[in-house]
Amino acid sequence: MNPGSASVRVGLAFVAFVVLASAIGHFALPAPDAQNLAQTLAAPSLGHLFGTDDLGRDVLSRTLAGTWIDLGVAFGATYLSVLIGVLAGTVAGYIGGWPERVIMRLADVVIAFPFIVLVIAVVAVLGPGIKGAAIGLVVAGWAFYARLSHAEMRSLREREFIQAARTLGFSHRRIVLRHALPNIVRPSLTYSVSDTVLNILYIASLSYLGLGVQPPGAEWGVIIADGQQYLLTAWWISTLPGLVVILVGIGLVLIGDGTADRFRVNRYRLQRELAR
Amino acid sequence: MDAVPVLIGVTLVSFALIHLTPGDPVRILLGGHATPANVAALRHTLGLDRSLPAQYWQFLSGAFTGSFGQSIEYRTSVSSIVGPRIGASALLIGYALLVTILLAVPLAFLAALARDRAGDHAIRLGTTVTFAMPSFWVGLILSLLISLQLGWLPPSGYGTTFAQHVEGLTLPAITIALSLSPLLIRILRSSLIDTLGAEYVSAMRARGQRERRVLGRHVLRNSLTSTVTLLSLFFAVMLSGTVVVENVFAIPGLGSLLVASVSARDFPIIQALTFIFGVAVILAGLLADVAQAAIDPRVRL
Amino acid sequence: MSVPLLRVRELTVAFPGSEGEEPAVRGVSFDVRAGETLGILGESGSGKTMSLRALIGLVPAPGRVLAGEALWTGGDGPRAGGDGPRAGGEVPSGDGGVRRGDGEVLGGDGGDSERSGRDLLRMPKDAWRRVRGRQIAMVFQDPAESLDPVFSIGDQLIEVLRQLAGLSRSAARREAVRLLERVHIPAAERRLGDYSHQLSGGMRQRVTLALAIAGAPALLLADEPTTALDVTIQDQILSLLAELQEELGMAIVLVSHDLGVIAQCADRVLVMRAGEVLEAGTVGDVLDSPRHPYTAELLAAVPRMDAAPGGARNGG
Repeated sequence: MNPGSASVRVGLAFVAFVVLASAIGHFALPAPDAQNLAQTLAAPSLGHLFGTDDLGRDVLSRTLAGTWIDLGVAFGATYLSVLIGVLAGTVAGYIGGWPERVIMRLADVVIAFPFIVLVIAVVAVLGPGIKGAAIGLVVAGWAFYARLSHAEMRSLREREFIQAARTLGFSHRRIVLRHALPNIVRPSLTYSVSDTVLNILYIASLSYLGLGVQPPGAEWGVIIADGQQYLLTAWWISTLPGLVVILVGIGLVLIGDGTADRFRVNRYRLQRELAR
Repeated sequence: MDAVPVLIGVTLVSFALIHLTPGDPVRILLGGHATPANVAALRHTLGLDRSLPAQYWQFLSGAFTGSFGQSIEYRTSVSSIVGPRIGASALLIGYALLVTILLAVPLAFLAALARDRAGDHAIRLGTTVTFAMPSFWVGLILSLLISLQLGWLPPSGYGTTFAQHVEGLTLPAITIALSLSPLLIRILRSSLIDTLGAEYVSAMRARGQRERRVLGRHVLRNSLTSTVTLLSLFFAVMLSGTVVVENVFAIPGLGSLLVASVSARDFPIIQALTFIFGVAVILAGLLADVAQAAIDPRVRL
Repeated sequence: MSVPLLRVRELTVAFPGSEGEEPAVRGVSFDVRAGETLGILGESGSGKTMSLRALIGLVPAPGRVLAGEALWTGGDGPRAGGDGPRAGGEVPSGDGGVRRGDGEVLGGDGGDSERSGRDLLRMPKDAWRRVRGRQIAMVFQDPAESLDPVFSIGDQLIEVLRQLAGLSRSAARREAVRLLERVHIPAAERRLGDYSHQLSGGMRQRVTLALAIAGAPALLLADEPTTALDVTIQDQILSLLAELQEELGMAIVLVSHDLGVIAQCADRVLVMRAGEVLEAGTVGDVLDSPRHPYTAELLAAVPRMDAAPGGARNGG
């Protein structure tokens, strides 16, 4: 069996499991913000698989509710970055001249900052909250894809089939869209999956720091941050939700690896041919 | 020398932060103390009534002499707040770098040598799982197990003596190393596999040279260049790591200062820190270029 | 008739593919006699490189040798009298005797040692250390890739010499200069500090040859040694090869897809395609009267100056 597809399947299974659990949890578990002051800081039990927090809220319910925010925002931020970055890089690589220099310099400056520092700077400007965090992720994230696509476009530009298309009189737009873009987008898409994992972690981190989703919102980072003061007494609040994050993360990485593997397997065959 | 425009860009971005904020920067800076008189006075003091380019010049010249104005929150000069914290962050980064290298390089080597066999798969599984772990979560788990339950190391804080610094920074350094290593191991492994497959390695084996020598001397040296490049790229990621980790372990460094000043909307500090972080990354890149030229005879500055 | 230096029988090398293991070399058999040049002619994908690699134990993972036998009668102990040829053109022959420059063998256990060789395909790893570089050596196709780019060529030569003969640094240095001179690199002493990227293609290939013959091997495996070089340089390298062969009395297995190279250098030739040997014989026989249609095609594909346009061309 192709190692790639096995990876993808296992990964999809993990992610589907969490999404499914969240959907079921929405109906089967107590509401994420339902307080029960009689049962605060209760250890994990059959009634509360992840225990309860200092306000008696069911930790599992809160954790699963966070799935939508984290996954949703992370995916959105990632693919918006891909969109902007690929467009910018492709245009820059195709047109050349000063637009190319301006765009790529801009990308260089963005990349010069540590990622989270730039995101935090954007949050500083826009104010803490999920919107600021999401925009921050895109502002910091597009540059990588721009660089990637720019490099691909540059190398493609020299290849004969682009020049052949020009001699046949195809318009610029058609060349870029039909011929160049499918090739250029591929490496970016490969990276985008693990980038999504990183964005999930960034959102959680920002929320943990108080700069993303604000309490009492149910989000992975917020939950863990809330639980930090009870680390010794009610360890389950800060530790168990992490398992869900990890599960989703592993799932996405496996999916990303699996799709990347398909390219690698082909390259290996080529290598073997040449080795003879 | 490509670095110069980027450097300028970095300073521009840092400078522009407060001007990008919706609303009047002066009112933002004063926060609750914004009476018309105060606003006008502060505007003049900060030179915000001057033209933008003039302000930028003022920012820039101040920045290179280390003066970034006054903190709103703490009412003293920014440099007096930022200065002492540089040491803590620098020590943390150095420590984290050390742990990361000790962790990632041997594992990458083992994975590359055991390619596609059990050892490689085990390491890749480990890196996948670790990659998905949020750094603050890792920090808390380590804190819980090693500090609170076993009592081997302090759960937070920095201490006053150097020994206490090292003690306090150990768990943070390990946390950063664990978040960085998965990606580093993967990329390094890939580059090592390429090197191991190079024709000169086959040629050396064909001459009967001992495997240990081939690996230890030639493969290692050749992969050093890519390792150095990688580490310089990872420097930026490491700085990101310090921001979160310093908060988890209450380390008085630049990272925790950044987070605190965002909540307080203390822009002079935010601008100063953004500037410092950006410049640090560029300098690290230049340092890596110099190191590469020293290692690889094909590279000439 | 002397015993062949190397007897290969039914060599099979396979790589894992999408449907189990796919053979790159299928049941190949041939002999290599001391002092001769055996050419292996074939296109890419014919399995010629893998055959060579199997003979020095360097089939890249995950490929492996599935079957076959490669009987080496050349000995594997330290050579009588150290490495390198002696003043009178005498060279230690593999079986403990001495071979003179004119090919005659003196001493040793001569004649009938058919079964007293070693099977190269079944040798344990540490046994290879005594064979590689000392008895069997290999040069590869691309000289730019065959030298470590971060060490000077002097360093690499010295390292090999110290490994093979246990020389001191200064003695190894002197020998390194001598080796460079033998491959006709001018101003050899100065060249020791050069790096691979500072040398031309031809010079690099000379250096790789110097490295290969440092241990005075009895067999040199040459995988497309001139393919990556300009035509004028090719000729120089092939002459150098012939010269070294004469001096050291070594056998050469020369792999190439270039008919001209084979015709120029080889005594006997194997024609390979898709992992199999289609035809074997002396160069004269095979090239003048090929028996296999594929060989005929290969020959016809070579453009000739004396043919009419479109005449000999349309063969391939």
